[in-house]
Order: sequence, then C-alpha cells, then structure tokens
Amino acid sequence: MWAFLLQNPLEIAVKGLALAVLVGTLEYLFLWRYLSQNGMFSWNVGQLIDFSALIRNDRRLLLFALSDRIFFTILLLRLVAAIYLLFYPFYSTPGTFALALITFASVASLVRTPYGHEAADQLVLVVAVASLIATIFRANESFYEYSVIMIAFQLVIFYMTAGITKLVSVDWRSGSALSGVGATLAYGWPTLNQRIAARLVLYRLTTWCLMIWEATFGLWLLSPFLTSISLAIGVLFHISTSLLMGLNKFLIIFVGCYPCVLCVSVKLPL
Amino acid sequence: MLHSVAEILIGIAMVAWLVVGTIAQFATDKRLPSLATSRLIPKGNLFSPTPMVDNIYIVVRTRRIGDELSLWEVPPWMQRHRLVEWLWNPQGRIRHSLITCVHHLQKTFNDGPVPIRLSAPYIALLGLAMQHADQHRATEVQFGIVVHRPSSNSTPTLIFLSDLHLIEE
Repeated sequence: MWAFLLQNPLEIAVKGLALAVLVGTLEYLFLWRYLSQNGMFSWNVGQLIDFSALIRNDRRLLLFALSDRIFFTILLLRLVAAIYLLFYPFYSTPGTFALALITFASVASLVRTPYGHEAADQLVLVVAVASLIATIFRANESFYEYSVIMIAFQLVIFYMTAGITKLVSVDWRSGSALSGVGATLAYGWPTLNQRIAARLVLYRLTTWCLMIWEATFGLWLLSPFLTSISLAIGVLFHISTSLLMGLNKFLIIFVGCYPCVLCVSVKLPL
Repeated sequence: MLHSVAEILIGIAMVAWLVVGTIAQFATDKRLPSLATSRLIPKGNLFSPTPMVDNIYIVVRTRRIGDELSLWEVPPWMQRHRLVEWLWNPQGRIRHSLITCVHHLQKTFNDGPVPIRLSAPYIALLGLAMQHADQHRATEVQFGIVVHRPSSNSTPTLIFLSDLHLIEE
C-alpha cells in the first residue's frame, strides 16, 4: 500500500479532487434557487463586490460569463469533468480538458459568489491547477514532482497557519473556543457538548494537541516515519470534523492530498 | 530548451503563488487587493484566531396588502446539523454563507463608506428574505439578525434590523 501511495500521489490527489468537486457541485445544483436570480449566492449580489483588481476596463465579458444560464452550464460541465476524473486517469488529453474545466469552474465559482466558500474550495483550486500543469507538460516528468511539492507545501501552509493563529488566541489556549464552537448549531455538537461542557480540561487538552499538531505540521516532514504518524492524526482529525461539524469536502480533499505530503517527506534530501 | 524555459516560468509561478499564499495567511483584509481576488488565494486560518461561537438567526416578517405585519419567523436556514452531513451537506454552505455574510455586514457597518443598504451582504440577506416572503405571497418584507451565544446562556439579542422593503412583481 505504501508503495502505491508513494508512486501515485498526484493520481490519488486528483481522485480526492474529483470526489470533492462531485459532491460540491451536486450541493451547488441542489441550492440553485439560492444561486440564481436574487438568491443569496446570485450574480446580482456577487457583482456588487469590487472587481477592479481582477478586471480594469470592460466588465461586459465577466458579467456575461457569470450570468445564471452560463454558470449553470459551467456547473453541469464541472460535474461531468469530475465524474470523468473519478473513473479515468487524469494523465491524458481528456484528463487535461477535465482539469482545465474544473480549474475554470472553480475560479468562476470563487469569483461569482462572495459567501460560503470553505478551505476545501480553495484547496480544490490548488490541486486542480497543480495537476493541470503536470498533465499539460506530461512529456517532462519534473512537472509531476513540482505539482506534488506544490500541493504538499500548500497543505503545510494551511495547517501551520491554522495552528499558529490558534496558538496566539487566548480563547483557543484556554479551551473555551472549542467548547464555544461545540455549542453552536452551525458547527457544533450541542448534545455531546452539554455532557462534557463542565470538563473544560478535556477541551483544553484536545485543543492543545490540535494546536501543536497543526503548528508543527511542517516539522513532521523531516522523517517519513513521523510524517506517517502525523498523517494518521490528520485522518482522525478530518474524520472527526466531518462527523461532528459536517465538514465533508474538507475531509475528502485534504486527506486525498496526504500521499503528496508523504512523497515529499520520503524524497526530502536529509 | 523550450521545456527548460517553461519549467522555469511555471516553477516561478508556483513559488510566487506559494509565497503570496503564505503572506496572505497573516495579512488583514485591507492589505489584500479586493474581496474578489482574495478568494483565489488560499487562506488556512480555520476557525482561528476568533472562532464562531454564536448562533446567528435571520428572522423575517412579512406583510400582505391590507394586512398587518406578521409575527417574526425564523426560517430554517440555521438548523442543527445532522449526522448524514459528513457526506452530503448543502445546508452547511447556507450556514457558512450566513455567518460570513453577517460578519461582512458588521464590517461594512463599522468601516463604511458603502451605504449599508447598497452593500453586498445587505442585498444578499434581503434576497434570502424575499425568497421566503415569496412563499407567503407577501408584498413587503423586513429582516433582522439575532445573535445568541449558547456557551454563556446569554439572552438572544437583535443586532440588526433592515428597512421594510416593498416586493415588486
């Protein structure tokens, strides 16, 4: 199994990408009434955001490209691309088109809708761009390695930022942040939280373990053995956030990128 | 030769993206070019440094022609999440959107200079309230934002009240 993970890190990351995009696109289509006309995620709302940094002169093309009908078509095409990548290899010409489509659709979705994006949506874009580069330049195997390194380091940045920003927060250090999140309807586990709310020590211990793991994520890469332990902790972390907080795509795309981290750890010249 | 040039250029682009991404992790929103562009730069401060520990409810009341204003209703946008959501969670996007939208509205209100009624979060929430009002065939709608911190058993507080808006056919 280890050999398979180490030989196909990008293939596994793309399968994770395809599954996360499939679930995310179906969710978007399910919420279409919120995305169209005057809905909360509609283009009528999205275009109120300042696009001056993206486009300086003529906005007509942008307004047309992200209109309801075109965006609906983009979502359908993204769904087809995700299904293709789930069952067929990405290292091919159709795979290149599928990844290009997912990249374009992810940018369109991130730009069109100002609210509701998660870390998973941003990692989807990273994996899509990195794998697209690898498959466009598939004649040169170096690009495959560059893409694996890029995904791995993006994950390191994600986790270390999360850990460091938690460490500087008094609320997180005291454990009250985790118990506070646990009590909310949106991300919490209120029933379980009521039972253990009095045990702030438990929350403090869990929070400190989480903060140390996240903040030192880059250091674990120094040894493949330590990386394996770190990634096992990561799998547990993502399964628990998925079950307790409903962060479904967060689990799929992040864990899908773990072989890239393992691969970088093995190949680090130490 | 062509490969090596492409390799260098793409290598530079990848490193630049990682560097910008690293800087963006600790930059405030004001330092980023715009909200639209900043969404393309991955940010990893998951639930930190200040996590969301409040329940946010959007409350809506409506009026039909000739009727009085209805009582406040709490549409089911902010429901408790269910176990099945570990795999299928469209409601999660609604909840997350409402939270970011309310934070953006607070920020717009505090920072200015955009008039609150013309701001994206206000229009977004109004659109949501209007969709709810459409189901009641109402002609006017008003929404409010109620915040409740369950961990401290505080009293729910109305933190924002919109104007009463006419719904056009």
